[in-house]
Amino acid sequence: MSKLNFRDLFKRETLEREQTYASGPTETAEQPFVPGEPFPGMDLDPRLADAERAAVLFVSLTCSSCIDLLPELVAYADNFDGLLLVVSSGKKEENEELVSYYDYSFPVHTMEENVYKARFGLEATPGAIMLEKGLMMQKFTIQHIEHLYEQSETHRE
Amino acid sequence: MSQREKAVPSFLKVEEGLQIGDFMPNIRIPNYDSLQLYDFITDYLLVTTISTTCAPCLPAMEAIDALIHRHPSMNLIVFIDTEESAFEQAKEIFHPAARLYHATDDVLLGELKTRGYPWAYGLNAEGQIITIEHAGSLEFWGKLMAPFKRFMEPEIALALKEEQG
Repeated sequence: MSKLNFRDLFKRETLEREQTYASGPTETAEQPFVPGEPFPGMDLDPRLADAERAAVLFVSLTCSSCIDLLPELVAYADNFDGLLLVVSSGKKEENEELVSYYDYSFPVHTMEENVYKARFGLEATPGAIMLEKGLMMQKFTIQHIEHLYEQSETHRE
Repeated sequence: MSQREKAVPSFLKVEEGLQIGDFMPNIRIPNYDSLQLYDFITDYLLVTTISTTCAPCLPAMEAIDALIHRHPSMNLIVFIDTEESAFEQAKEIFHPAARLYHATDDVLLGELKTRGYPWAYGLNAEGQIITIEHAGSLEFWGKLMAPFKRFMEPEIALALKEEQG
């Protein structure tokens, strides 16, 4: 029997979703992101298919980085010249409360975290997928609000 | 209604958790009828909380194990949130001197009030928190242990001095 190591205590998906952890010999290769693929969540909002630019943000209400980001999204929405959607793992009532509390001008959709991570191939929250006319141009984990602004500008160039 | 007048939704209130100067709750140790946290305190106690649901806990476990290899007699207890089978495996993997205790999220976040995983606390003889550090590297552990080095055996104090240059 081979000797156990600490990595054996963790489920593979737990380690895979942590992008910052250095890769080891047993780590599987990440699925490369291919720009230009159709966004697999058009059912969230039919406008995504035709929008010149769109940002779909993914948050969890139990993740402190996401909570820190939430108030910043008000100004981000004002600055972003495209369609903005947020997908949240909060309960429906919590997401309604969220929209009401911050007076969000954009919709917040409800979806379980493990569901959206699997469906959209996200590594961690908060995450973002930037679209052009329904095609995915960028996918990334949001480090902080300035990072989101920077990536949005990159996407625009 | 302005945002200031609205009640803050409960999910937006981020718990700060324990602070330096707070007394760590003297919780009952899970799976032991008459054992409580403060029973472990000598002149000091180091407490760490880790979980196999958090990826940064992997390097933290490696750091903790390396620390115990280096200083097997230091007064450290490790709470692990994990499945029963993984806890049994952890006991095989860690250094034999590691004092591991199986605990759930409810106990660690709800009763012990830890900030999350992987975190570590240094307590004085009264159970008061003197240091708090992320438990993910030996460098952080050095900071956590520094105020207690006078209570530790001479070789630990020497090693700490060497690590701090």
